[in-house]
Order: sequence, then structure tokens, then C-alpha cells
Amino acid sequence: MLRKLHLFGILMGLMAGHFALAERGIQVDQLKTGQKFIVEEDHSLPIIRIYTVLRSGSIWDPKQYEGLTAFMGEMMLRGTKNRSRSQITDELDQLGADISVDVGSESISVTGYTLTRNLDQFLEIYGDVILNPSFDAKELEKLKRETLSDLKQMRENDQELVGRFFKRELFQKHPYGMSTDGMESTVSRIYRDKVVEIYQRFFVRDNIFFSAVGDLNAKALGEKLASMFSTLPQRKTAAFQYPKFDPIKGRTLLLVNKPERTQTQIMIGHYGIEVTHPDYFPLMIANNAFGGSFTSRLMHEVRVKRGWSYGAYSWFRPRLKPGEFSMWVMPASKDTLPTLKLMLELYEAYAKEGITQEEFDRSKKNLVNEYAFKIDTAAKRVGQYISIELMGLPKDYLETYQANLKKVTLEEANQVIQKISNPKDLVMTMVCTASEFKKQLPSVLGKDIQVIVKSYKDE
Amino acid sequence: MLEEIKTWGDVHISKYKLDNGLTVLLAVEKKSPVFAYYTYFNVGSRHEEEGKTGLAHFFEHLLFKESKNLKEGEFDRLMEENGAQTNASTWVDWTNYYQVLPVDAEKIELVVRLEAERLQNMQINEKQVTSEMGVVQNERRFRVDNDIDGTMNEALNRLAYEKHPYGRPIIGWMEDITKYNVQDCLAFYNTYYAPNNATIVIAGNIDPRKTMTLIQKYYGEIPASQIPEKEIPIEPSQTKEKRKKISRSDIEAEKALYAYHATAYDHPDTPAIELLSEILFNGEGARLYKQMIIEEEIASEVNAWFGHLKDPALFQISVSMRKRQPIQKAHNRIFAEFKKVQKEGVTQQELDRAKNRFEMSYYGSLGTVGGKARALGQYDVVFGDYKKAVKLMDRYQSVTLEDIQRVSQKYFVASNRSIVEARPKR
Repeated sequence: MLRKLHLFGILMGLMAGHFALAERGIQVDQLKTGQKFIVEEDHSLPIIRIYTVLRSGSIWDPKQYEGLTAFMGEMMLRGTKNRSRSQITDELDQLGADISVDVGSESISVTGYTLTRNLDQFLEIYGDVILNPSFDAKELEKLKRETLSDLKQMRENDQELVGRFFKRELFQKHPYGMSTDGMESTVSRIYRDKVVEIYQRFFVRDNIFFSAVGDLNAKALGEKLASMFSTLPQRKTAAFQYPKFDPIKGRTLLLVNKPERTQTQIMIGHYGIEVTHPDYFPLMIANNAFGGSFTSRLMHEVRVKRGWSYGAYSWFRPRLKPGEFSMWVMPASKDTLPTLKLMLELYEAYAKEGITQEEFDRSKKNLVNEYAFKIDTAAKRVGQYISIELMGLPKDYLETYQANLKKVTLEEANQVIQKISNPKDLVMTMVCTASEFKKQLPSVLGKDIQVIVKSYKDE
Repeated sequence: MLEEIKTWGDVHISKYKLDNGLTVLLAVEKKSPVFAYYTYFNVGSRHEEEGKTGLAHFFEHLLFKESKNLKEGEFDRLMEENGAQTNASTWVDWTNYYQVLPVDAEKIELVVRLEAERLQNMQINEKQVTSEMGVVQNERRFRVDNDIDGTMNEALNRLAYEKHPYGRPIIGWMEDITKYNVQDCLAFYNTYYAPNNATIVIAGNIDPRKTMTLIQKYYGEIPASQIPEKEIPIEPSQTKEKRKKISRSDIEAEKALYAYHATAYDHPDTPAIELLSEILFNGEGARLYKQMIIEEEIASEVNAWFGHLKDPALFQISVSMRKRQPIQKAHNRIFAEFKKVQKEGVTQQELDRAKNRFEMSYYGSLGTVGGKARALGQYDVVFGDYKKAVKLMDRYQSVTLEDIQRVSQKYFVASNRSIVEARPKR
């Protein structure tokens, strides 16, 4: 049992993980095949991590095949032209090694993890998985059944449900609203040609860079990677064409009805700004003061003062285009309406009056000082460089990270709050037993609010 | 200084004991720009009484409140201003508080000062207790009541243990959480929060001499306490299989949790039991994963785990079936596979795989100064020797094929088994 919600901590860490200063032994090389190679040697433990990173992700999924990229990623591990699925698994297991394909909305990473003594044998399998997936039709049908089963099981997790429904309601038709793992109706439609097509589109030389960290020789590994992946096609992948965002008009409440809940998951928010936006640093400080830390206003009012929720946070998701701003709490059913009312009042006050000097100072110090955690291990330093490369941040971004935070003033932070916060146009999502609240909602939210009720089994 | 060793690449670990009984472990890792400060107390849910379950965890929350020299919220404020990562956790055998901060002399002194303050000067009042009870009730709703896995896990521990406190939930029963009072909390604090009941681990780029001077300065005068010898009932041997059924409308398919009474961490059979779990359940190459998920497609999830505890722990298996697949199929396959291992053993290849997986996961957990401090603290406070964390792999590498077969025969029998089944309510 933890005092603070650990999973959320991890999420926050990942989200804040794009900013850090390059230091120590990190090298950014160019392989003879032209790709970037971000690498750091760290000989303290006998393990090595290798990343093949792609500048594409699940937002490329056609609407009717939502989940396709994640599906393709998983299929890469299910057989190559030289190895069956079980051969891949058995050989990796024998080495104490692992390969995973992590598909995000705007990136893909094929991550390998091996004991140093087994590096050469591991690389043989790693290269085979990336270059020679067979996309076996039988395995494809098997994965389809497995994914459909996982999607059903996902409904057991209320926290997962609220995030999924919130994102979909907020972004509507925009691809940011799609789920990486898709929906039952779209996964059912996926067929082999589509999987092969997206693999061939993404796995081309210009769309890929490499990274590695651990007990390795940077030069030797770079040469091996260049040689292994020299056969990647040289085609270019066209940049993703982002559609426009539909404006949010007024307040909408989506009630996701699930039986027998004694607790409500609430998520409220609107669009934020892209990670490269000049207002991003003041906004980081402002949000950290409002709901980004344990001493923030939201946490203090909801958890510390009233004991209404175990967690109470807000965040901006860093994306290439404006990501979501979200506030999240999980009160008992009996405290749901007062908590909802309080959240809205707190957000309205924040949007109108901004943050205080004391809140600003604490938040800024926190962000400046916690910088050390972005770079405290070789693996994290490499991770930072990967994120920066993917996000297209300026070259001096790392070196100026702390300075950019330090130069923000309270006035600037409050101006950005006024500019970006929008308590009038909000999307609210609650996973709860809806019958308990539906009638009382107008007394908290007014009569103008649009209320939509869905079952937690809906897509 | 009692002793010093070098391990994990270039980490120098030294051990100290203050006159008041406080144990200090310093793990110097010159390259790290941050340091981790872990305080382990030798108190967990095993020390609680019936009717006061969850008190160790509840008190962990209260330690972030007001003290003689720290106003409400000041601890968190100071930590955040200094860029710290902080949290705390309670387990059956121990309670842990940690801070990880950028290395500098002032920050090290700050943490030493604040942790020494919390050890001796907490001031608990009614308002804090009432507000935090609401938070913990909500934590329970989140982790247990509205989460099928949490519900089943709680039910399984309750079912499997008849007398031992490991059968009680760490977070506490809901009716107990609503009844704590200031006196309960103060009594718990005064009994268990003492230097002679704690181990502090500091890992990172620190100067051992200067750090020990600070520890002596802030902790040296805190008096030792008489820690009561808690009489923990011995769990009687289980003589027949136990089952419990749960029916809920918020689950999608049938599920089961299985428990077999097994060993305490120090027992020589523990590594073989843990490696057996790798061979049968964990990862795509494990026998039952392959059979139930890949080949037959009857389950969506199967895995097993086995905690490192002071007293005999449960070996637990978790299975989620695919829709419309009866849980009986999982029972049949799992029980049959145990019988097969009992009769035929496992192959050398399977054992090598399990050892490699274990080694990978061991090194993976030591990647940060926090990971190292966590391992050293847990093994020192619970098992009395941090070197058990350092030499962990030796115990696992020496496991033989005969060990695996022997433990399968000894522990994985029907009479030693408890099962919680959950079915969707129709």
C-alpha cells in the first residue's frame, strides 16, 4: 500500500520526461546508413537495452482499422521468415532476453533487453524480428481473438475506462481520441494486407533511428546495427497530416454507467497546447501549482482538507499537436457531487485569478530542482534524447531547460493560465453507477449542460 | 563502521550502528547525481491486532502530517521545493519512507533533519485522523472494493490463512478504517517508531564520513525504545483444499486465484519454488502460458508470484479466462501440470531459462539508487542482513533439477491449496 498513487506517479514521470539536459557519456552518432544513433555506455551492471525508434504511431491508423499499428507491432513478435513465434520466445527466454514493441500515438519503439554475455545471439533475433516478420495468417487470427478478449477484460478497470471515454469524447473525430489498442469493432476488421501495408510504410530507413544503453561498446554496436539494418528500404514516409480540432462548445458530461460502483472516476478537461509551444514552460509551472504535485491546490483542497479522494491531479499531455488537459479525482459515490462541484469551482477560480506568488515559487523550484531525475541514470538520459528527437524540440532545448523555467515570471504564468484555461467549455466524464446521480446533476451543473449516458460496454 | 563491501559494479556499501540501535547502510555510487534516502521500520500489518487492521498503513499516511517543528504540509512543501521524489509504502513485514533528491550537502542535511524529526516529534490530532480516514477509505475503494483483482486477493489471503496475520488486508477492513482514533495512532507511533526498530539506507554520491556525522547529530540523541516481542501465531498446516466463490456483475469472464502455503524467504526451498513459477507460469515460454493462452486460447492471463516474507508466504497463481470459458478448465490444466512436474521433473533448458529470466529481473531492479536502497533496506530490516540482497543470485543459481521436482512434490498438493473463483453475475 502506498501513500501516493504509484501508477500515476509513473505516468507523470513519463509525461514530464521530455525535458532534460544532456550530460555525461551520451553520444549522438550517425551510422553509415544515415540514421541517428543515441548511445551511452554504462558498465555498472551486465545488461544492455537497445531501441529501434520510429517516428510514426497509432494516430496513423485508418478510423475503420483503429488498433492496426499496435496489432502490427505485436505481430512482429509472432513469427519471422526464419523463426516461429515459439522459437522467438524460446530463444529469447534461453538468453534471459526480451523484445517488446511499444506503440504510442506518435511513436513506435522496438525495445530489446539482454544480458551482456548474450549480446551477439540476441542481436541475431532482434534483427530478424524487425526485418523479417512473416505476419502469419494463422497467428493473425489468433492475435485478433486475443485482442478482442483483452479489450473485454479492459472494461474491468475503471481508471482505464474513464481515460478512454474522456479522450474519445474530447477529441471526437480527431485521431488523438483513438485508442492505441483499438475497439472491438475495428480490430475485428483488420486483415493481413493492411498489417503488411502499414509495416512497409513505417519500417523505412528515413523513419527510424536507433538508441542503446548499458554494458556495451558504442562504436562496435553502432557498426553492427548499421550492418544489420542496411537492407531497410530507402523510401520516405510522408508526414502525418493532422486534421483540425473541432471546437468544444459549452459543457458536456458523459456518464459511463457501470453497475455496483462505490466510487466514481471523474476526468474533466479540454485541449491544451503542443509541446513545442512557447507557452509550454509557464504552463508547466502553472499546472504543477494547480494539480501537478502533492502540495498543489487541487490535492490540498480535495484530499488533504476534505479527504474526498485518494488521488487528485491535473496534467497537460505533451504531444506534437495540442494534447489534452485533464483533471482527475476518484471520490466515493456519496461524495461525487460535492467533489465535482468543488473541482469546477477550483478550476474557475484558477482560470480567473491564476496562482499566487507562493504557489508559483514553490512550483518553479520543484520543477527546476527535480531536473536531476531526468538524467540520473544512463537509461533515463538516453530516454530523454529519444523523446526530444521524437518531439522535434530545438537542439538547445536540453541545455536551456532549467534556464527556461527560471526565467518565467508569475505574471507570465498567470497570463498563460488566462489564455489557455477555459472553464466554460469542458468535457467531463464520470465512470459511476449513473442512476445514483443523474437526477441531482442539474443542481450542481446547471440546466444547460449536455448530459450523455453510455454503458461501460459501449465503444 | 561495522563492515564494508564492494558490489554491483562500483558501489561501496558500509554498515554502521548507533548507540541507540539505529542501523545505517551507506551505498556510495560516485556517478549518481541523486541520492536516495530510505527509512525502513520493522513494523507492518503483521503487528496489528484484530479490529485495528490497516493501522500500520494508516499511520504511514499520518507521518506526513504535523510535528513539533514542522507545520502541517511543511514536510511535503520542503521536499517539493528541493525537487524530491517522495513516497511511502506499507507491507506485511515492514513500512518504508523514501526521498530521492539531487546530491548536495544542504539537501542531505535537510532530509536527515526532517526524517529524524518525524521519528521523534509527530503530533497527531483528531482533525488529521478524520480527514485521512476518508482518504484511506477511498484508497480501499480504489484498490479493493471496485477492483476485482483486489477483491479476490483479499479474499484469498483471508481464506488461506486461519491464524497468521498475513491473512488480514494491509489496507485494513473497511469497518476498522472507520474506527481509528488519536490514541490508537499515538500508541502505534510510540511503540514501533524508534531508532532501534529502523534501518536507514542512503545510496548515491555521498561522503560517508560527513553523512555519518549528520546522522549522529540528528538521530544520536533519540532514545531507544523497548520494542515488544510480538507473538505471531503459527499458521497450522492446511489439511484440505478450501474454496470460495464470488459473483459480480462488473467482470467479463471467469477468474481464479490459487494459493499454496509455501516458505519464508530464508527457507532453502524458496529459490526453487520461485524458479518453478517461472517455468510453469511466467512469460510466453512458460508451460501453462503456452498451453492456456497460446495453444488452446482458453485464458487471457495467467501468472504466478511468490513474495519474500519473514514468515511462510503463499505461492499465488492468477488466471483470467476468455469469455465463456469455464474456470474448471484452468483448474484441470494447472493441477495436471503440477502432477507432471512431480512425476517427471523439468528439463535443464527450462531451468536455465528460469534462472536467466530471474537474473535479468534482478539486475533490472537495481538500475537506480532507489532500487539499490530498496533492496538493501528490505533485506536488512526483515531478514537481518543486507548482504542477502547482494548475494541473491547465488542462491538461485545453485538450484538443481532435483530441487524443482522435490519442491513441487512437497508444496503443490491439493490439501495445501486454496482457491477463490469469480464469475460474472448473470
